[in-house]
Amino acid sequence: MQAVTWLKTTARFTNPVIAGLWFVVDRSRKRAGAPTVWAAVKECLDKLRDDVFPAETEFEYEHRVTLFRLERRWKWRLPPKRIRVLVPILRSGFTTQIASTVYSVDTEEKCEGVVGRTIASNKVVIINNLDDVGPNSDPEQIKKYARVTNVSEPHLMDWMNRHERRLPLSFCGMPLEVKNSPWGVVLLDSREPQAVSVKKRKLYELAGWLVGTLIERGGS
Amino acid sequence: MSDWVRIEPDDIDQPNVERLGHVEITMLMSPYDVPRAVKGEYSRDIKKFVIELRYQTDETITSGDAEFAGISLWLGRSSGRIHRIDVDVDKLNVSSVGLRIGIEKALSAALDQLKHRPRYLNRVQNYDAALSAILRNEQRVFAELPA
Repeated sequence: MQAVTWLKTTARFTNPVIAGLWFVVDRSRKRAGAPTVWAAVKECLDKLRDDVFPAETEFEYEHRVTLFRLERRWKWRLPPKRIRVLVPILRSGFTTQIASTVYSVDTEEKCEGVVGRTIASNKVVIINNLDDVGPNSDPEQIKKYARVTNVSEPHLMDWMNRHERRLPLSFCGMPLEVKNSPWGVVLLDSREPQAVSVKKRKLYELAGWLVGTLIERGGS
Repeated sequence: MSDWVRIEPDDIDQPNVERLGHVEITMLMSPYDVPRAVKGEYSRDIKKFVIELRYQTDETITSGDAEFAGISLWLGRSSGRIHRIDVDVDKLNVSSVGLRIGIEKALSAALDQLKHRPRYLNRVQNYDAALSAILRNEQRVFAELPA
């Protein structure tokens, strides 16, 4: 009874707060998309990984398929600026789920990474036979790897030191459209030097189309 | 009623390979920009020769934004990709003997002009692919026109 009385007396404050919370939760739910759809997208990434890369792999992280979404984020500097970035949101496998590297794609000249190059050029980008680079590699090799993959040397060094791993030897970035507008990139990376091939073009295209269609029908 | 002509992506999009030492960088067109099928037929209702292109995904198309001498291009509303080309054969003012060549020239000129519009700069590869898809299959696309 006391609770009802309290609600009545505070309605003018609590009602807008409840409405605001409802709005935020509803927007978040719509943005997140249906969980079943994301489960299906994850299965697509896993299937693509299994079909493209060899089965005899010791570690999952040696062959990965990652889904990046194009987002707008604030860059906190003076003056603050909104930039376009590619954010990893889903990845194949079970032990490779933690992905945190965000790539800027502000302009075509300033795009970062193979994913940035993919979305800026609106083309499928395949890179094979990269140098086998690790934390103790020759600085010239690291410099060349950074140039080819469109990332800075400090970024590469930071990544290798954090993960204590050697870098991928091949990449394939595929642009992804949802509702006929750029949405993101599907990126394949592997420790095999020639893991991705133009000959498998139809398979990449099919997987990209399926992922895009699933997201369009029920994702965000 | 003419049939759709199926297009293989490998036929109209050759991989662009760049080598930096032993590193190999290959660029392919976005699969969304590659036409998957093409057909051409004369429409008696509008008295124009109509070429249609199909893609991996469907889209609402609009006309009126890209009108050139005798050529109307119907573009995807979001993407700007070419979905339909209306050719006003009478306006082209070419003899029936050189009709196909006349259409091809007018179409190339129209696409060249479209490519230079800032809004469509990122669709240049689609315009090249559309033209290539039509020219590679001209016998079947222009089957209803005099040779």
